[in-house]
Amino acid sequence: MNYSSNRKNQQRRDQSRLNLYYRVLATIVIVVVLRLVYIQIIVREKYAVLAEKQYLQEVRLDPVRGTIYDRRMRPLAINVPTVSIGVYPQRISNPAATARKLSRILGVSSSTLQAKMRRDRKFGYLVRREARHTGLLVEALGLKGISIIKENGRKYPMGEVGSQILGFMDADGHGISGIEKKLEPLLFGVPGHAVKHKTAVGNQYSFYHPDYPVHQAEPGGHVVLTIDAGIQSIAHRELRRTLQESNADSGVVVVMDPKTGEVLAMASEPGFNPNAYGKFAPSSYRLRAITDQFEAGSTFKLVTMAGLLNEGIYTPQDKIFCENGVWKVMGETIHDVHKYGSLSIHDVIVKSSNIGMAKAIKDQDKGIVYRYARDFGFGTRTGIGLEGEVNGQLRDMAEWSGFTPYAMAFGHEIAVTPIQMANMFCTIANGGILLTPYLVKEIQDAEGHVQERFRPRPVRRVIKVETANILKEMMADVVGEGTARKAQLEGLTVCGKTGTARMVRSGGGGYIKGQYVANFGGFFPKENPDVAIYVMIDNPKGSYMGGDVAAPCFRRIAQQIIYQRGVDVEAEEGKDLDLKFVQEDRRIVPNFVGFNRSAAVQMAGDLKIELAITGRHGVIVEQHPRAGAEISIPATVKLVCKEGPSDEVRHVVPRVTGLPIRNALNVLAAEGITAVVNGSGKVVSQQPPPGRRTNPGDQVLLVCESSVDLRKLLIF
Amino acid sequence: MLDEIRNTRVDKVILICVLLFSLFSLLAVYSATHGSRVAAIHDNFYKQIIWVVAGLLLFFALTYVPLHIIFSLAYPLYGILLVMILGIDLVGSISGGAQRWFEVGGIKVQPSEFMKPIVVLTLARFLSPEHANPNRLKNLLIAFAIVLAPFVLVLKQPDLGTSLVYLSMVIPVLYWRGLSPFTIFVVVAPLFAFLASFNYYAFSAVILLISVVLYLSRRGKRVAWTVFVMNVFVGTLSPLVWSGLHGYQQQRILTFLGLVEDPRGVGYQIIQSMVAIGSGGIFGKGLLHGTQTQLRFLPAQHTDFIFSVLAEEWGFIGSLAVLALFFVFIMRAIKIAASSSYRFASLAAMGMATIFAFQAIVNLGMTMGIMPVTGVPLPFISYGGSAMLTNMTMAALLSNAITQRYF
Repeated sequence: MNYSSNRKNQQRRDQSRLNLYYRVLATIVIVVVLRLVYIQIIVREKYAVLAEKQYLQEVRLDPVRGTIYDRRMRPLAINVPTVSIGVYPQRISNPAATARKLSRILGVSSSTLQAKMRRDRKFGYLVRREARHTGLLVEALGLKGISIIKENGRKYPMGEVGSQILGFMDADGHGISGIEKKLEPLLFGVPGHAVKHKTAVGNQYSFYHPDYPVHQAEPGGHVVLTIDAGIQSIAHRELRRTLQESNADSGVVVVMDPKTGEVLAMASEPGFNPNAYGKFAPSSYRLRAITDQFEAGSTFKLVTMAGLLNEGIYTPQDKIFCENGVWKVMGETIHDVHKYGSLSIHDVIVKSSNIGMAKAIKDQDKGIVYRYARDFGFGTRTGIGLEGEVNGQLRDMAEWSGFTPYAMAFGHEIAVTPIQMANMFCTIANGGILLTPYLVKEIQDAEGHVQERFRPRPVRRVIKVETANILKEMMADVVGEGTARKAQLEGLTVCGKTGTARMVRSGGGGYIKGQYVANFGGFFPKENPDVAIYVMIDNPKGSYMGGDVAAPCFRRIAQQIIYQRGVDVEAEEGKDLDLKFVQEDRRIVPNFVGFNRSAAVQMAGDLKIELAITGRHGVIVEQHPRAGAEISIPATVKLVCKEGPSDEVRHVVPRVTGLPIRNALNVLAAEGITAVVNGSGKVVSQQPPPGRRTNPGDQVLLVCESSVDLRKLLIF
Repeated sequence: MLDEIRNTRVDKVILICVLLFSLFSLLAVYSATHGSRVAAIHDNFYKQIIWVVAGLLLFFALTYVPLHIIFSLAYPLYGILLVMILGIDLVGSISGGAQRWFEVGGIKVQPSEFMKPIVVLTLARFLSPEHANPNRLKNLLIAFAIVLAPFVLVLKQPDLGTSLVYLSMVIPVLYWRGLSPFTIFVVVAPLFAFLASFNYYAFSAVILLISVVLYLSRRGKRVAWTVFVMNVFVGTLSPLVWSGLHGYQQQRILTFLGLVEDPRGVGYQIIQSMVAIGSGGIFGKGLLHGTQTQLRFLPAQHTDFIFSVLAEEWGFIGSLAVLALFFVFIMRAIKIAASSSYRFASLAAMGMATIFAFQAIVNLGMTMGIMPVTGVPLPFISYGGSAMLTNMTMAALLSNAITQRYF
C-alpha cells in the first residue's frame, strides 16, 4: 500500500486549499473577537448593572417589635422567630412536584400552593410566620426556587386573655387593632436597611455586602399596661362560665382601681385567640367594654340619686310612697317588680324601685338628671385611648319628651358603655372624683428605661365625699339585704347595684323585645375601696335579673382577686376574712403553665412560694402541685420549663383530662395546640386522645363537666 | 526550521499550548467549584487535577507510539467503539433514559468522546490510498458512511453536540483530500433546499441560486438536471412529510434540534453567561471574585460555561488570552496538516484541527450568545475526564504527525 506522496507536490497542490482554511478560521476568530469587544468593552456597563441587580439587593431590616407587659411585667405580646416560605415561580421547573412535596410539610393543599406559583409573578409567599422547624424541613427538601425567610412573629403567650385589648397583627407585621395598633409607631421601631449579596442558589448563602454600610434597625419600645394578667385571666374565665351557665350571648367585665382610674382587666366574651385570630368571628375581636352601648337600667339609678343627694334635696330617711307597683306619669305607666308602699330614699335604692326614683324627681329641677349624667361622664367618650370607643347616648334636654327625666331616673332612655358604667362606680368609690380610665401605665424604650409614666388624670369632682358615703351605705345594703345578695363576700362589705335593662338596637331605633341586659357593678372594701368591678351580661336566657346573673359573676371574680391581691385587703374590725390566702401559711397554688420563667418567678415571689424549675428557656409546661391546690408554706412547686413547641416537628397531644379547663388550655397552648372547648369546669374527655401527634393547625376538642350542645358551639 | 522541529520527539508549540490549557482549566474549574457546598461539585476540582495529570501522561506516552501502529489500529478501534456506542444506545432505550456513558470501577466512560479522534483516523485511513479519490461517488458515500454511522448512533442518545462534532470535520477533511468544490455544492445544496422549503420566497431564491451555480459550473446536462430535480424534490417533499407528522412528533424534532426553547430555560442560561462575561469588563473581577460565578448565577459553570468564568474573572484581557491560545493551537494544527509528509497523518491532523476549531467556536459562540446551546464543551478547559483524555490524545497525534518521519 502506498500511503504517501511527494511532499513538495502535495504542498504546491494544496496551497490554495490551505489558504481557504486560514481564511475561514481568521474570519470566525475576528467575529468572535468583535463579539467579545462588544460584550466586554462597549456594553459592559449594561451587563455590570444587570449583574449588580442580580446579586445586590437592598433589604429592609425589620426592627424587633416591642413587648407588651402587664402591670407586673408579665409579657402579654412577645416576639418569636418564625419563618416564611417564599417562592420564585420562574425558577421552578416542576410546580406540581414542588407543591406536592411542600404540601406535606406546610399542611396546605398542593393545589393551593400550586396556584401561588403562577409563572407571571417573580416572587410570592406560600406561608407566613410559621414555626422555625418548618423552615428546617423545607430546607431539607432542597427545592429550587423556594426560599426560607426569617421573620419576627408575634406571639401572645396568654392566648385569649386580654386579646381584645392587645389586638393583633396583619401579615406584614403591623398592628391592626387594640394596643398593637394604637401604639404601632412605638412598638414597631425604626426599620434599618442594608445591601445584601444574593446568590442564585438560595438564601442560605447570602451575606451583607462589605462595601455598603448596614444601618441597623432600632428596636421598638415596650408598653406596660395597667392590666393585671392574673385578674384579666380570672375575668375571662368567670365571664365565660357565666355566659355558659346563663346561656347568654355575650358579656363584659371591667375591673378598675377606683383610686387611680387604672383598668386592671377588661374582658369580653366570646373571645378570640390572637395567635390564630382567623379562626374566630370578627365580632369576637371587639372590645365590647368600649364599643357596645346599652340601656343600663337600675344601676343608673345611682346617678340620679347621687344628684338628688348632692343637691341636698333628700336625706336617706325621707319617705316616698311607691304607689303599690303602678304609677302613671306624663301618659306613661311605670311598674315595679315588687309592689311597695312607702319606702325611704335609702330603700328606694336597696329595693330598686322604679316608681320611687321617678317620684323622687317629680317636683324637682329636671336639669339635675341631665347635669349629673353628664358630669359622671355619660354621653362622651371616657378617653381611655383605644380606637372604637363610642359616646353612648345622652340626649340634650331640648330633645326630651316630658317623660324622659322620669325614664332616665331609673336608667332608661339613655345609652351607656360598660367602661362608662365602671367609671361611674369608681367615682362613687373614690369619694366623688371622676377619673379618666387608662390602660397604659408606662412606656419604655428598647432597653427597658422608662420613657413616660402615666398618672391618674382627674376630670372633675362630681359629688361631695358625704354624698358618696351616703351612696356607699345604700349600696352596701343592696348587697347585704337587697337585690344583690349573691354578690356578698365573707368578711368584708361589698357595695354594689344591680340592673336589668333592654338592649339598644344597634343603629338606634328602640329596644330589642325580650332581650335583656343583666348588669351589676360594685366595689370593695366599703371603707377604702380598692377594686371596682362591673359585669354586663347580654341576653341571658332564664333569669335575666342583674342580681341573679351578673352578681354571682362579680362575687367569683372578687373572691379570686382577693386570693391574688389579698395583701391589699384587710378584714373589717371584729370579722375574719374567710379567705384561705390571707392565712399566714396557706396558699392556693396559682397557674404557672403558659407563663415564661421570669413571670413564674415573680408570681411565686409574691406568694412566697419556692420554685424548683427544670429547664432554662421557653414557657412553663408542667407544674406540680396543680393550680388551685391548697398548700401550706414553706412549700415548693415543681415547674418544667420547656423551649416552645416550634422546634418540634409535630406536637404530641398532652393528657389534659381531669384538669380545670383553664389549665388544660394552658397546657395545650404550651404545646402550640389550640383547643375547642365544650362546657366549663374540669375536662372530662379530649379528642384526639393523649399521645396522638397533631398536624399544624389541628385543634383539640375538650369536653368539660357542664357541656352544651356541640352544634351551638360550631356556630363560631 | 521544520527539520529542526522534527528532530525533537514532541512538537513544542503543541506541548506549550497543552500545558497552558491545563493551567487555565485548573484555575477556571477551581474558581467555578471551590465555593460550592455541594460535595459532588466541590470535588470536581480534585478530579480535574487527576484528569489533567492522567491526560499529560497519556500525551507523552502516545508520542512514543509510531504512526503506523495508529494507522493499523484505526479500523479495529472504530469497530469496537461503534459497538460500544450501539450497546449504550440499546441499554438506554431499554431503561428508557438518555444514556451516554457506562461505568468502569466508579469512573464514567463516554465512548462517544473517544470516538472523536477514532472517526477522524478512520476517515483519514480510508482516504489515504492514492486511489481513494473522494470525487468518485462510491468513495464519497463510504466516507460519509464512516462519519454518519457514529453520528446517527450518538444523535439517538441524544447527544446533538457530540454528534455534530463528528459531522463537522467530514467536509473539511474531504476538501483537504481533494474533493471538488462542485461536489461539495452537490452535497450541501439539498440541506439549504430543505431548510428553505418552509418559506416560499426563500425556497425560490435557493432554487434560483442552485440553478445559477449549476449553469456556471458547466457540467453535463444530465448531472445538472439530476442535481436540480433532486433539490426541487427535497424542497417540495419535506413540507409534505413534515405536515404528515403528528404534532407531538414535530415538537419532538424541534426540541431535539434545539429549535424551540427547551423547558430548562436555555434563554436564561445564555443571558446569565453574557451578564457574567460582560460584567467582567476589560480587566475582570479577579480570580475567585466573579460575582456571577461565585454567587452561582452562572449555569453549568465548570462544564459548558467555563469560558464565562474566565471571562468574568479575567476580563477582556483574559478572554483574549484564551482565544489567542486556541488560535495558535488550531493554526499550528493546520500547519501540521499542511507540513506532514504522509497523507494519513496530514488528513488526520486536518480533521483534528477542524474538531478543535468547531468545538471551540460553538462553545465560545454559545457563551457569547451567537450560537445555539448544543452542549459542546470547551476543549481542554471544561471539566470532564473523557474529554480531557480525548483532547490530549488528539494533541499527541498532532504532535506525532509532524515529529515522526517514518512509520
